[in-house]
Amino acid sequence: MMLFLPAEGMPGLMLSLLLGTPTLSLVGAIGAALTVGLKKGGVLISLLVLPLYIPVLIFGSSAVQAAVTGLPLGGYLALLGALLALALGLAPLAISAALRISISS
Amino acid sequence: MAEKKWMPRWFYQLASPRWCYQITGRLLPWFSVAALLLLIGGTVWALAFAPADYQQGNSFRIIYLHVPSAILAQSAYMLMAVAGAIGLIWKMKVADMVLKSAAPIGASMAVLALATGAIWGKPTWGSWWVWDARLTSMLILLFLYLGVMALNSAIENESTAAQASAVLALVGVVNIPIIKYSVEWWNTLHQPATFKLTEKPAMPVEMWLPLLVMVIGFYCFFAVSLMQRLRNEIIWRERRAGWVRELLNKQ
Amino acid sequence: MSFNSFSEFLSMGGHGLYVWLSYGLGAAILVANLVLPKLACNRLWIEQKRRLRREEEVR
Repeated sequence: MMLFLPAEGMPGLMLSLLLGTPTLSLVGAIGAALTVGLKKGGVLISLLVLPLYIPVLIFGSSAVQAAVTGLPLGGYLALLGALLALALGLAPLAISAALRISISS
Repeated sequence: MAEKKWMPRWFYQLASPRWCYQITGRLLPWFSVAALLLLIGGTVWALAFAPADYQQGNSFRIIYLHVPSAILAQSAYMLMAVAGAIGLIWKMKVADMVLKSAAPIGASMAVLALATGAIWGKPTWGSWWVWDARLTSMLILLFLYLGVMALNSAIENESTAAQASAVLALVGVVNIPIIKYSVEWWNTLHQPATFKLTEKPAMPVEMWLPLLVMVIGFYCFFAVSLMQRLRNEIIWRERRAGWVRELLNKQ
Repeated sequence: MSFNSFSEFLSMGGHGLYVWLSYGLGAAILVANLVLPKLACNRLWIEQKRRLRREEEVR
């Protein structure tokens, strides 16, 4: 019983976390790759990565909310899956470009 | 052996900072006059002559600021992203400079759109802010702009900074379709678009004509501000070049 | 004209605060974006001319 989440919400929560977390890691890696060469890069990463996290958070929390109230959450999970697919495909490109840029200076 | 050129000649001409400086110098007066006339005329029209809305009353007049700034905020981001891509692919300095120049203007357009939206929302919907799809994604856009500006100033080497900002701008481009289609995909509080490419506007002509004037005026304003910043950037980055020295000595 | 008197124009049917706040903000942002680059340009030119003069003197 986490944070008073009713039991019906648990599978929905797990699925949305399963789909959302890798996306967050990949996007975070983009931010890290962009700022790795900087001295005070820490705060900058949060600024860079925050706008990219928000869609994932919105869909993830909507999925959990739908699960708790018993509404179908297939659509939200599909969107999370789509974002994951996008991230899996494109993030490595962005990360390698960013790393190349960071090392070059 | 002659190098194969993939793009038209004017594209490579654009790559020369000096050429850009000269051509922006010639375009600036025209766009300034256009911007001034359209914005002042449009504002007077919007405030005094356009009709009030049947339901919303006179707070409806905020649309004449809100819609143009929102459109500009998105267009400026697209320009920034395209400039970033060109800078990354063709290593064009001018493209990097356009990216750097466009970011603050786009950010202030996003601020204006969000602020006027919030101010308009209070009498219309009863609250300053709702976490609805379009508002949230516009807020994301503002953060993306701020991120690009912050990244650009955090890195000392100018070309590295430009490349990093370009990567960030391109990653964030995924947000633009979300903003554009958010009012279609979700049942949101925010109303759908007024101007569509294929259909006639849903509002009467007395209302959308001043809106069109303001949108074009805002585009002209953006061009003026962009060109000014671009020229500053060119002079700064090319300060060691002979043509800049001549220019400075002439005055 | 959509208004019958200037005071009506100012009050905007009760929504005066919202409308004028928005337009004031809009004017401020537009003017700032036009004025600040011009000021930066002036500063830049003065700086660069000074630098050029210094470099000429050194020669």
